[in-house]
Amino acid sequence: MLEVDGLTVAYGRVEALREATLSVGEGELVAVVGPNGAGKSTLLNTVAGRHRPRAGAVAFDGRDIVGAAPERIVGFGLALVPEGRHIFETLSVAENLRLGRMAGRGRTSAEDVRELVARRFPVLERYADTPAGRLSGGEQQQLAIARAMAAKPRMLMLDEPSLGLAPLMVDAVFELVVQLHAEGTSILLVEQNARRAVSLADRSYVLRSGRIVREGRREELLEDFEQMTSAYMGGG
Amino acid sequence: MEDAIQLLVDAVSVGAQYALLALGIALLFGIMNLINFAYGELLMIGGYALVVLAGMWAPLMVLVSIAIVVVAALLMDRIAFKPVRRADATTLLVTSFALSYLLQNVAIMIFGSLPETTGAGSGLARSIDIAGVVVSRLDLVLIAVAGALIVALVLIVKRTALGIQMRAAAEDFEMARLIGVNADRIIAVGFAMSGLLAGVAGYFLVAQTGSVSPTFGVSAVLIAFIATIVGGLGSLRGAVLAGFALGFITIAFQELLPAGLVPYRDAFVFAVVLLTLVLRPQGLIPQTARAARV
Amino acid sequence: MPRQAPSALPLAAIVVVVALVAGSLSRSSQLDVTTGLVQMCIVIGLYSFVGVTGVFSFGHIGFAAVGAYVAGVLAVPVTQKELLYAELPGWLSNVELDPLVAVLAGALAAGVVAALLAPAFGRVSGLSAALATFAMLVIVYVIARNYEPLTRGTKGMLGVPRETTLWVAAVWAIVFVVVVDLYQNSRIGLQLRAAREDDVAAGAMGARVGVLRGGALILSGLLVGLAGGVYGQLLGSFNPDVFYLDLTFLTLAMLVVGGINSLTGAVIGTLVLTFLAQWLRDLEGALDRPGLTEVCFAILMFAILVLRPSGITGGRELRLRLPRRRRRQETPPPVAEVRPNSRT
Repeated sequence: MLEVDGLTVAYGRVEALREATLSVGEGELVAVVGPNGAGKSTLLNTVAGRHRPRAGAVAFDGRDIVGAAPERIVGFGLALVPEGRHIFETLSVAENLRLGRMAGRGRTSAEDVRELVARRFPVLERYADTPAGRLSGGEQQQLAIARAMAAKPRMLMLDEPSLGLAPLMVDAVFELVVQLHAEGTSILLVEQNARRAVSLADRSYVLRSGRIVREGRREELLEDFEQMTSAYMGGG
Repeated sequence: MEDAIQLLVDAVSVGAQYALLALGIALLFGIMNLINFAYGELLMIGGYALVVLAGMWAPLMVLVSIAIVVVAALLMDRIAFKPVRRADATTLLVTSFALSYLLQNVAIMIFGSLPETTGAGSGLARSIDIAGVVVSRLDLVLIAVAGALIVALVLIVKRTALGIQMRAAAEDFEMARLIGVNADRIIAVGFAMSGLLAGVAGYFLVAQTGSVSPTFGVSAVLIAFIATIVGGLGSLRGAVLAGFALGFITIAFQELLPAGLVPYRDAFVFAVVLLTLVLRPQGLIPQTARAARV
Repeated sequence: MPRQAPSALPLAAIVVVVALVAGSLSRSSQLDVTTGLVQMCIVIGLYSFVGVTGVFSFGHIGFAAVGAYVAGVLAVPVTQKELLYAELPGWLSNVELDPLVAVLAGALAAGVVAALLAPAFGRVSGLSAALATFAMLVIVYVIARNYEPLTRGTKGMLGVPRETTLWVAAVWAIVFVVVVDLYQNSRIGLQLRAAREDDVAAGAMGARVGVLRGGALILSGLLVGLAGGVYGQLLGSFNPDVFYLDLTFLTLAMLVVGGINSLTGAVIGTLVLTFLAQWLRDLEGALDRPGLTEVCFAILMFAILVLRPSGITGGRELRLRLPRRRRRQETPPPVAEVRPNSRT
């Protein structure tokens, strides 16, 4: 579904991502883990169209999306929930969700979104008219995911969804990821919380200093998790 | 009593004019951090359009001139601002300053630097007598049109899908794009609205002064700056309120200030602007919670 | 930032060459070059704030106005004062300073105005600062238009001794080049430039940045005020509009075209626009299209902003002798390939 091939991204002279190659299959949950500064966010942001890569190809559903504007890419059904949530604080919760639905260009109706919220994001229901800035961190993260899901994307990219949340909220967010995956959404998850992400994902990639240094299925990676930990702890 | 009412009408009319001007600036700042010096030249383009179109049936002439200004605003976006869109706010400001200067001098090349007189708006020049209070038709029309425009704009921004996209873009442009807001389109909409406001404000300005010159828009844009800054950069509500407040203050100064000090009014007002920028960059008008921008 | 060879020498040499060449030209060309050199002083003064601190200013022409008016009124001969400046306060109507002393007094007055504003500009940067400087320009303009006893308002100043010859202008330009080059390579200048390039450095310096920035404003106010006085003594008569939007645009265009982040840029930009103006004015006359020169300048400035924001010089300085290894100053990339705030 998503094919990233030899992606290199540079900030000025510093290469943040070097020849990264990875793929996410239909309905798959794939995690990318690695230490801070490894290039995880760069990867997602580039796929989402926020950066132009120096080299490499990105195909979504067989369509080349390198150089396409972010708003076009989300229109193709590939949504990014960026690090730090970035909900629209001055807009109400309902308006945030309405924006998300607009990105789907008619794929979802208002009724669909209401149902989605009732089923997966019940906390948000009673806050419809509240400015989103008044929600708690965990609620904001849920809103950010709900906003992306309101367009019924074919694939969801999550950038550090657990960052800065209370432990209880972290559980809730990961639970949500599992549910969305179970319902058939393809997910590319970037996390610093490596052990947890790897144990949820079908497959995982380990990114270090801009390079993918390891790839494997859940069992393989969990098995030699100790070695992997040392591999990436040694880096950074 | 009649005098007081007359003054009040004056103040509201001046305030409505200023509010229109300020809204045009605040709108674009909200969406793309642009303080558009060249907004004044949109007024000027509208003015010259009225000069060129002289002889046409008046209502049609006004509509055509406004349409021309809207198109000019869209061209401004495409040609001048799109290439620097990702630059910082200061670069945008410098670009708009250069653009403003460019357009003024293009006007000099075409029309010369002397003012052109026009009879546009003379149909509104007559005064009418309402129960002993003499008010100009121009003032009444201005108040009605500006009021309607402001209300329409507020409704669009608060209620419509487009308005939600505009507010989202104003708060976090990058994120708005990630959620599917088309950057080109939303900025074009902002420029079109700004152009509409400039077209209308430009018409009333011409109707009041009866002439257009290449620097026609400069003093108007200065007033718009004051209102947008004092109202809090990017706040539409603040811009409107500050516009009206400025209208009232202008009339009050005219009536109350000793004759010797009136010329310094602008110096005083700009001193307030300077202090606002330094001490209270969020503006002097209190904002409701966090939900006040755009 | 490494110690750098002074660029004052080659730049001063350029000024001398320009003046020598101009000396052999027609009277009117000589006058144009003289004007260009005085404007160079203004642009260098502007650079000493904008270039060194990275805070944009639309207001420095206000300092030039203060300098020009104060220097002018102090130097007008007493005999003419009775006639032209009847409303002048008594003590001023009997003052007639040597033109050079008057220019220095004008610089001082502009410096005082800058000092009054310095605490404010230490606090703000970016857009707010740029707009505040613009407000300052309008304030000075309004006062100049209306305080008729001193400025004669829109009737304009008359009877200012015309002391600024080609070589006077050239000498001032050299003085400005040397002073600003020493300043930008001084400890304070280097700290300010480091803070300009790097928010982390600025943060580490904390409130000191504000103090230094205020100091930079005062120095630049003195310099631009001085240049304004020299300009007034070139024109002999002028009104408030001389020191308003047109000159603001012209000097900004010179700085932007040359390169906003280097002293060489200020010098080169001024020369390029001065020579372009020569040629464009002729064309303008032939086509009978006033405004053409300004239109071309605006287009040039816009093209630079889009295609090469660091200007002709690219932020580099001209150096006579390079010590051992060439150390090029980093210039910010035109449009960063990626947004630095969204790194992993």
